[in-house]
Amino acid sequence: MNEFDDPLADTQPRAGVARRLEAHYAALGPTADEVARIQAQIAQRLDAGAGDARSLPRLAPRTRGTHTRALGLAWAAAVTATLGVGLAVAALGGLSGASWFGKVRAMLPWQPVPVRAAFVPFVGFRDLSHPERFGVLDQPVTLAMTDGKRASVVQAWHEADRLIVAVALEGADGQPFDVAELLSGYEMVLRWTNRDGKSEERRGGLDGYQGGDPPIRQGEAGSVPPDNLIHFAFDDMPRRITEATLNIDLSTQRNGVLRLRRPDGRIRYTPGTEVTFTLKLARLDAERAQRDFHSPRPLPALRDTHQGITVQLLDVTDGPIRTVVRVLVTYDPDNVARGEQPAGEVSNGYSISSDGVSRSHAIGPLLDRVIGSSPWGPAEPELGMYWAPAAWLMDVDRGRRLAAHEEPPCWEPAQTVWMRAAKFTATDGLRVPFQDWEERSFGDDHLWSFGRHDGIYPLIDGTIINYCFDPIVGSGTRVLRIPELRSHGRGFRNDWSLRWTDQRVP
Amino acid sequence: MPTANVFIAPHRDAPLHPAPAGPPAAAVADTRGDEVLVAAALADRTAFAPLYLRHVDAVYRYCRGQLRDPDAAAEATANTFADALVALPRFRGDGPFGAWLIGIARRKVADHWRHHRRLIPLAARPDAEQATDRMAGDPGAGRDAVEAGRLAAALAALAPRDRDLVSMRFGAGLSFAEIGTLTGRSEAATKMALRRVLDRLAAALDLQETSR
Repeated sequence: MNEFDDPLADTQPRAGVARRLEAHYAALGPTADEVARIQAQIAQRLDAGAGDARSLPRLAPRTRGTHTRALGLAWAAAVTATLGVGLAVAALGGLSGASWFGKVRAMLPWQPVPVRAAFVPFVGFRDLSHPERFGVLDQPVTLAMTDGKRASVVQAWHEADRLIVAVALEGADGQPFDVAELLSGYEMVLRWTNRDGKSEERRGGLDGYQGGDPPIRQGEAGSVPPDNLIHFAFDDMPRRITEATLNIDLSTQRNGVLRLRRPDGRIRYTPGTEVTFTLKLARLDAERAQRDFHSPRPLPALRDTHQGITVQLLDVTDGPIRTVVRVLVTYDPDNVARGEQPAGEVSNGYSISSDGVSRSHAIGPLLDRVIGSSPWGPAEPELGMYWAPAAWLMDVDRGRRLAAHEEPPCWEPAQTVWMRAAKFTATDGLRVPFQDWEERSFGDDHLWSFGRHDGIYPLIDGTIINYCFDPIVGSGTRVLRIPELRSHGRGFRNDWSLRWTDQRVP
Repeated sequence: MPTANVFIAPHRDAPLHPAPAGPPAAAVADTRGDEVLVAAALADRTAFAPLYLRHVDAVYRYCRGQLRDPDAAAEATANTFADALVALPRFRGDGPFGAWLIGIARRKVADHWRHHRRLIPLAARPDAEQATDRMAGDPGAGRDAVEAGRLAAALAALAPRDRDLVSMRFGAGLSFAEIGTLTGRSEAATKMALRRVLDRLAAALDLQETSR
């Protein structure tokens, strides 16, 4: 085939890159050692999960250090030996594959731990990829377990076909939740009734955490920081659940490895009853979402100035899936040295906290958008509410706004939310270094990367920044912290704290 | 000596990868289609082995391209196949099995970053260094090593979503349509997006258009 028949090799540079990439990825194939390690890990996962790989405690130590690796190898060897006996049993008994596994599992050195079930109410969907069906995230619901522990569902959302439920855990009497207990394997069971009236069920395993500070570290013993949200993931969830009844119970799941390590040797849970709750999922339409997003809540003028840069809090807009805080950045020309560009950057580092408000607000704030002068005209803040449903963005932005640009970025409904830093022109005629279109997805797995690697955006005089947070509930004094707003070329950092009191009725 | 790989146990005599690249011998030898192998694996989990051997390279290369760390890639690959084995009854067959696996692998990569979002991988060696190391013993490979290092650096500088596209295309060998299905794009949009990524890489590598 002519190289130019390849759609990725229709120019010589592209063809050159394609050839290099093919060679590069071909060289990345696994070595025999890596294949063997993968095989051992699969075996370990399957057996540690008692047949359900998702129930594995993925928060377990993953340190690549010598000790952990040695432990892992020892464990793999133990499993290997056990399975070896199982193979012998299978060979002697002529067992089928399923019964073979049953026999092997029966020989594994642990037995189920009796379970006392607690439950955690489910508060709603946040399904950005299906904007017509995202639900309202109500106030976090906290439930006290009979042994004094507390579990709160703080967030729930869809990532592709997965449902993620974020839970905050507290130990008894307000003590931090024990890491070892967490790693002993919690499992969440989600049940609902489908449209046909049939009951369905998914089991969600630990899927990670939403870090606080400090985060749960690899191999760490001790306690779960209170601002860490534990994620439970449910795979292959149907997207068309509306008006459904959801029952969730949070219960310990057996995992003999860690149970055996407990110093007191006691079984901490006793069988209990499952408590059921019911929640009707809200159905919101794009119109309501848009209305919500276009009702900013004015706030008292707040401003702070450091070294020629002034940050001013404009307003707060409450949306069903995000609360947007708008901040205006301006420059004092007297404080900008001659020859320097009156531009700055905003990069990673922002948080919001408040009194008596969900801890999630300190976890998931995101810089949403920088709005400034653009090639097609003045700033249009009203179009900056990028946490609107994807379909609404598609209709409004693609049809009108992006068409004005010579090369509109690809818009994809599945990605839902985009961040763009447009071309900016300084108001005093100086040209800010050209910034090409940048596309940022806040959906799914890309959310993590924002800010840490590539969250540098140009600022000019008059730039408005949107900070997005999970919906702010309740009222109280809030602090927006912007620790890394820097002037261009100066290299200093400033740390703003804009504090205001929200007067809303909770 | 029993093997630790549960579903490969009956096939433990099959050779492993003899070299870093290239499909496993068992995968080449088994000419049955994925659909047949999936059906067999549903009936008997130990029959998952041919599927694993057929696709482990692609899954690993994808994960390696995304994570740029062999340990993390191996872990993500293991998690992918473990989940696939459990989720196999839910494989509907409305797309290629390999693409379904990559869909799982993408979630595993996302899981990895979610778990490590606040951890800086100080110990991880960039692929650029490793590419250089691999060619260190070859006296004629100096220029290639430099080029490989530049390409790895350029890939590392890509936005995650762009690198995702590249890894799916060149690492996992997915078609544009399959990538489009996984990313919610049309086939044409996928091609366009990949073209742009290649253009960015070409610019980073300073590849110039010459007369044809």
